[in-house]
Amino acid sequence: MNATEGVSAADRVLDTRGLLCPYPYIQARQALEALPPGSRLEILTDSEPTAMSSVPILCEQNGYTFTRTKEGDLWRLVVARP
Amino acid sequence: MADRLSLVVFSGTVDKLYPVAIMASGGVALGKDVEIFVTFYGLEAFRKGNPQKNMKMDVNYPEVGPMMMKVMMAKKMPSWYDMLVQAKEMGNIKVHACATTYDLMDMKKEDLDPIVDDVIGVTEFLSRASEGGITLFL
Repeated sequence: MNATEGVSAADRVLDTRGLLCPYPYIQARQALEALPPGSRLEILTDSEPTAMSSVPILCEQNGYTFTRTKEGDLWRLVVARP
Repeated sequence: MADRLSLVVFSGTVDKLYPVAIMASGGVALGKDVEIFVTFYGLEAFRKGNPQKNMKMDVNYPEVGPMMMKVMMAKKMPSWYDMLVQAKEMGNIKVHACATTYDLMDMKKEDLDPIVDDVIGVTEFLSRASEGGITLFL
């Protein structure tokens, strides 16, 4: 269960597909903390709870904003670090 | 601090589900918001159809369990599930399915009993629990 990374319009892509809660949250938090202010992280997940609960609560706690789109079973969340 | 009772329900046996329903009832009777996070065997107990057919009791008390069930039936004690439904009608109770178990077991929303409100991650539940005064693990 390892997340993989890639490149997109965001500054960094974190692929959390296959990861169980709370690891998407943990890896997203680490990735965002490692990015400089003003960056964007794109998070890929196949878990509805990750898309609807874990990432939103991470953003709420840290003042991040995010957008969420769904393509089939894949959610794409782009989190902006102010 | 929110006036909130948070319950982590790990167990799926009837003898543990009764205290869940009883404490949730007491919580709303006191005007508290109640947050119930059902995980592992606790989530299995909330799988659609299971509340009505689950008769499992803790195997550590083989001499007491059947006797308790008889007494509860004789005294017409409602099922834990009916108690929880009634408590939910009385006040603000939310039943959250654990995201880890939900994804681990490849569950779908339609697999869950209708009393379950949503599926949330442990981080969201702990954030909410940390705002309240009491958190119990069952």
